[in-house]
Amino acid sequence: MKKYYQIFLMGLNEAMQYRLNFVLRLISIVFPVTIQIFIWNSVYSADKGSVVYGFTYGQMIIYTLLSAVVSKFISSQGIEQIINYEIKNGQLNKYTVKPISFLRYMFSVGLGKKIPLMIITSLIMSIILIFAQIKLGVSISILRILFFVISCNLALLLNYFIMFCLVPFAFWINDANSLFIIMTLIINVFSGGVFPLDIFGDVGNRVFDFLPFKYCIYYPVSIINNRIELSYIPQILLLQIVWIMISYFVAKGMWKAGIKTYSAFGG
Amino acid sequence: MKILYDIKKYLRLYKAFVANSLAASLEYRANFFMAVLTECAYLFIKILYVIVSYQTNLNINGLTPDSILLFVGTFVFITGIMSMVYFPNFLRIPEYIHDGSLDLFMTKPVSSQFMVSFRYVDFGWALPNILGGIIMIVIALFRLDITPTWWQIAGFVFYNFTGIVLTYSLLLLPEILAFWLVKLDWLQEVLYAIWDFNNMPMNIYGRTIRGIGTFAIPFFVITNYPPLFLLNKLEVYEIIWGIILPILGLIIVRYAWKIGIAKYESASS
Amino acid sequence: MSIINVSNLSKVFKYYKKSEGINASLKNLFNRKTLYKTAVDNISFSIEKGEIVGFIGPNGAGKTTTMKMLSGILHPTSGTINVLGYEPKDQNNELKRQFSIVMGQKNQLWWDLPAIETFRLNKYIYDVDEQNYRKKLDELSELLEVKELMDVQVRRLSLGERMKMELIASLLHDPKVLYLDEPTIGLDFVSQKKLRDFLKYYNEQNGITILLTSHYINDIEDLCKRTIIINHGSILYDGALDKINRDYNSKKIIKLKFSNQIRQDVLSTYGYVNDYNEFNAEIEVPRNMANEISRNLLSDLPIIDFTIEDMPLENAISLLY
Repeated sequence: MKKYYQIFLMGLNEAMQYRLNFVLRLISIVFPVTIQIFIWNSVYSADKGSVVYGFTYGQMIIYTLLSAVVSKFISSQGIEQIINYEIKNGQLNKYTVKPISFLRYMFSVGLGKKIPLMIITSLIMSIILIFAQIKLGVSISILRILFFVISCNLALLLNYFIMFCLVPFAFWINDANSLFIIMTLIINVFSGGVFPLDIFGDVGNRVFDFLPFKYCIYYPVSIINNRIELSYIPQILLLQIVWIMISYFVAKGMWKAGIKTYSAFGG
Repeated sequence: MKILYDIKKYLRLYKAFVANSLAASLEYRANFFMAVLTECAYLFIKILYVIVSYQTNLNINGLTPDSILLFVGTFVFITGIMSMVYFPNFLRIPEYIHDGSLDLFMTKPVSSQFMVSFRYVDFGWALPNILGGIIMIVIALFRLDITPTWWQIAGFVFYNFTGIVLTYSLLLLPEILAFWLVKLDWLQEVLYAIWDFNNMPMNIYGRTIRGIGTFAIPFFVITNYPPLFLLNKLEVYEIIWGIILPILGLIIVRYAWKIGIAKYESASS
Repeated sequence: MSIINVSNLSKVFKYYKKSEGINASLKNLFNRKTLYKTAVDNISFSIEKGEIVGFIGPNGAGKTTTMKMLSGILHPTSGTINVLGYEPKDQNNELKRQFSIVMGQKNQLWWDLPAIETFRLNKYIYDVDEQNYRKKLDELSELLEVKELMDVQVRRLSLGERMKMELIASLLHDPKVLYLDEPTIGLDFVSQKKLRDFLKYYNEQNGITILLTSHYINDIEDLCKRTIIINHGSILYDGALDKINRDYNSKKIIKLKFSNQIRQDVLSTYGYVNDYNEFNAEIEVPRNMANEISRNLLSDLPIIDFTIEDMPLENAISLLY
């Protein structure tokens, strides 16, 4: 475990080297959020008290703000592209000779790189929550905040393992990076990172119920904006854990299959 | 007629660039296919905004969802042109400057600005957007149930054209900063995030943002003026501003490029 | 008639001292320390039509900077350059049509396309008419033996073949002056030789004026009747290379191989021992005594192999630096 901790520190260090870039990147999420806020302002402008897609105005604004930040909080930060690079350039052998698991190595680097992002996004989320209490009049209990924090961290793991399920495609596809970009976009939409999933109607949501994505953004944010019953929350967390386990095993199996093709071609 | 000869020469050159880019993209059909898919994913997200507009029966100062579709269609179409003509070139400019590829362009008897601006053409990114944009515009026109006059169509096409010309200056100008700055990727990211502001008609934004987007960082002019003209909603000062601005942009970017090149000539190593 | 005239040319680069850390970078924003580096320091030379001139010197000596000023990429800080009656810094298209620059580490070929596409592009860029283009292309591809390779994607070509294509691309418009910056870098021995033979032949046939920089002394020795040696931005030497040999290299090197072990102190009675192990040795001797000493060596020692060579040019030039 200790060596992975060292690797984790390495990733953290690397992230700190590029702080300026990193902060400016974060600014880019401001733009789509701004557009959406203006849309909702227009939608609710006729009657601030109306309910759209089952959301009150305050709930919708919280959803818009938080879903964007959560989607950054859980993002894999391009770790899949780094792995793709390593695979394509025959760098895997470098790891196979060392007594460490490549996936665990990458996971540790990724987590280390995430720490600054996690700290900053947590700060932003706190500000949003305070703003929600004061300005939007949405009261949020401490208990929900606690569940939200747990749920976000589970979502982070889940999103990671979902990405790791895709990573082995680097063994089989030439231009895997494009696949990753496409999948990141689509996963973000189906997780509720752009608009609340309610825009897809009942039929769409019945499909999403059988997919893990909903548990990455939509449910964590729904915990905090009072969109689901308190009693239902433990079930959500449990399902998050179940999906984490499923995606973990799928990722492992896919990776094994990928490695097989890799070594078959001599790396 | 020197100028006619030059125009002919540059057109011929551009034809060769297009032919080469096409040949290269046929070489990598899988990449082309992936580019199409990637743009389809982005297009899907843009369309979500339209879907939300329809579902909530959004009304922006008298713009119904059908007219919003017209705006989004224009935005998608011009995005397609941008990603076909400008994007593959402009992203490379900082690289040319920093790795010295610009050296070779400067020794050619052709404008170096032309060489760096138009060498590549991309088809994969453009295809879904250009097609999607046109389809959205046509659907919007049918649903709006208006039969535009020739004058309106001509104006719509004209402001699309001036918008595309304006895009050239607005997107190239920041890249020219690469003559002074080493790291530019953050700026590019912010730039294309601003670009996406046009995903909704500018009327949705407050007065201040609208003012900034029209006069200071005039991205709104690019995709809002064509549909506004078509809907007879373009005001007189806007009609004029929409013509002056692209010309102004070209002049400024030309000067900026020359200053950048002068810096390069005196200081690179 | 001289085709290139350089007088009192200097280039000073301005740069800023960079410090680590956020505090220091903030301070730098307002109060930067400007430093100057003289890359080219008051040099003058002129080159006649049809000459091949070699430009050598260690890294950072100012060779590439000079070449970039000659082609108008960089502007001189002071001094004047005249190429074919033009000042390169004016970026005159008439001048640009009459010269070419090939840089070994930068390519103008389209990576994913056959070289012929780049050639066609250059035809448009340089306004070459169809007839001359065909003629020139045939001639060059014949000479460089790449006729069948022109339709192969550039990325599939070897480094040597790629360099040949670069040369064709830069000669299609029949330039009067050709600048070559490290053209043979990374090439194998045979490719280097072929490239040199081509340049020599092409120079004789077309009277093209060539200025080249190279790290490989063979390039210079083989091609250039005249060499300009530059270091720290100044010209150290301008003239024929064999003259350097005469002036600075009055010694010969004798290489020996023995059948039995020979002690070093025995060898040092014949001359300065440059390199030694039990069965091999290199001895430096004065040129005029080389024959006599080698005769003695052959009769005294159990020698199985034996050569007399000039001192390598690298050594001779390093004496200059």
